[in-house]
Amino acid sequence: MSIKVEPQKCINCGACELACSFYRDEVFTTMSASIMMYREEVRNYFGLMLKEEDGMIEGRPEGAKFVAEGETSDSEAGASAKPILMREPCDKCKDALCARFCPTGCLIEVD
Amino acid sequence: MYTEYYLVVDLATGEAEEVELEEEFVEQNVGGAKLNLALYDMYKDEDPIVFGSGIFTSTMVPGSCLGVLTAKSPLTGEVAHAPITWNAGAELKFTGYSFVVVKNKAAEPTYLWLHDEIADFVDASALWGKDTWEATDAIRDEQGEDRIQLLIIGKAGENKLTSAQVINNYWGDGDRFGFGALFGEKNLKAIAMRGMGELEVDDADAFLENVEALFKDVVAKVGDAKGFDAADFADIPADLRAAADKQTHRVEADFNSPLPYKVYLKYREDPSVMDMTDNWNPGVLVSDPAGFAAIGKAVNPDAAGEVLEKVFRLGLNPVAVASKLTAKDAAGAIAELEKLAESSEAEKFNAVFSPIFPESERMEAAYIAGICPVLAAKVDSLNAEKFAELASLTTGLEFDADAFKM
Repeated sequence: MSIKVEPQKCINCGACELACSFYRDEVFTTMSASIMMYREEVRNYFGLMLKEEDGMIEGRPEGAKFVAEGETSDSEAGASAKPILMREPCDKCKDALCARFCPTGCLIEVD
Repeated sequence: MYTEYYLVVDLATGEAEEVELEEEFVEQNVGGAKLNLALYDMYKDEDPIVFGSGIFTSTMVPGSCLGVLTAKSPLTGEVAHAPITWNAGAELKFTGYSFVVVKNKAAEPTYLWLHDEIADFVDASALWGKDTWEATDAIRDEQGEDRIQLLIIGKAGENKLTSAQVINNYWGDGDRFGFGALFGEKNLKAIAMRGMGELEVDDADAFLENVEALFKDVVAKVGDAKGFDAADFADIPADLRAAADKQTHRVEADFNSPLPYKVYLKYREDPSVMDMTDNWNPGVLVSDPAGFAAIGKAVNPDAAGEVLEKVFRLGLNPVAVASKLTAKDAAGAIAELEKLAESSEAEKFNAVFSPIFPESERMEAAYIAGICPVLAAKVDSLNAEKFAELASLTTGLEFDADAFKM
């Protein structure tokens, strides 16, 4: 199982951060998720990042792309999500809470 | 569902005290506006402002964004509760304090920096006179975190106008009560919050099962509602709606809410542009649709977004100041707003006074539970009975529906 990201559907609610953290620790926090929201608030440029074993998926307003570990993102956007490098990678759990609690289909679980 | 302590801040002495949030106190007052009021009464001789969370704020219960600001309104003379949506309520709990009581007055401009069970009093002299956007950027830069959530004032609050509003980062919110003037009176430029806290739940498995069923019901009832269609309470006239539709960029929701009723308007850039450009301020987030409607009825519809931006930057209540505007164009209206916010005397506003959200039988329960009132007004399953059931299940305490009434 893995998570497909369609960032144009994101409404910046952060339910995925909460849900993934709850899956890991059974507490409410946003800090232990493999997913991080990012937001350039004044410019309304927002999306999410999903950490994987060998890199991360950047879900930007203009689309999603995989950035391999060691590669540098080509944009200043997402500076607020830099701490994701410290997070545990997605363990590709079955019936993932992040997708179950995403209200828009921005995150979908796929085989 | 709550942190172990609430915080009592004395601006006069620069001291902060952690006070245990006792189980019996929660049983009696539940949370949100109701518990805020109990705290207000405890400290009422020291001119308190209480910022508090509801029992479900920061949890996975749908719409769990709400923070409530409680104080005596300079406008009405009565104790009032302002709903703060977006992310500030949730961030408060993550700082380690579910409630903060701010009492007395600082000798010099100050901002309160709450983070990870630490309360810092920070000199805000350099921020005094800055608008809310400049000050928000400065505080985030100073503390090195751009997800800091702020309750902040602009010039209107500094000048103690009863039309002043406490702004949430860059955007207006539920303060229709002149609380911005109270911040100004206290020399309090902002309350800044960021935390890595964790909240425990009594029975995680039962909670997840119940809250997922509720989530599915809420999402089904929200359906495709988004943008201004999801903010139908705001009474936005057709010409304003048409102008806004041409400027609409994306829609957003509050923390953990499936209802994206906040609309970002771009008027300094093509709204279809999704890439991040060099334009640092392409528009405004219509965080307060009723306020936007009030401004849009006062000025030309295509100027409403730009004028609303100035309202937010100056820290004004859009509903209060809309009736003061005579110019129809953006430049003229902005000049009037600047003059208004610079008033040296605390002007008493007699403008139309309105709640930010529609009256609803579920409103009271939402203010106590910590649930977004816009969502609660739309979704009938977010009600006192459901809140009581979930609160009992997840805390081990016993609540009935009456607990979610003031």
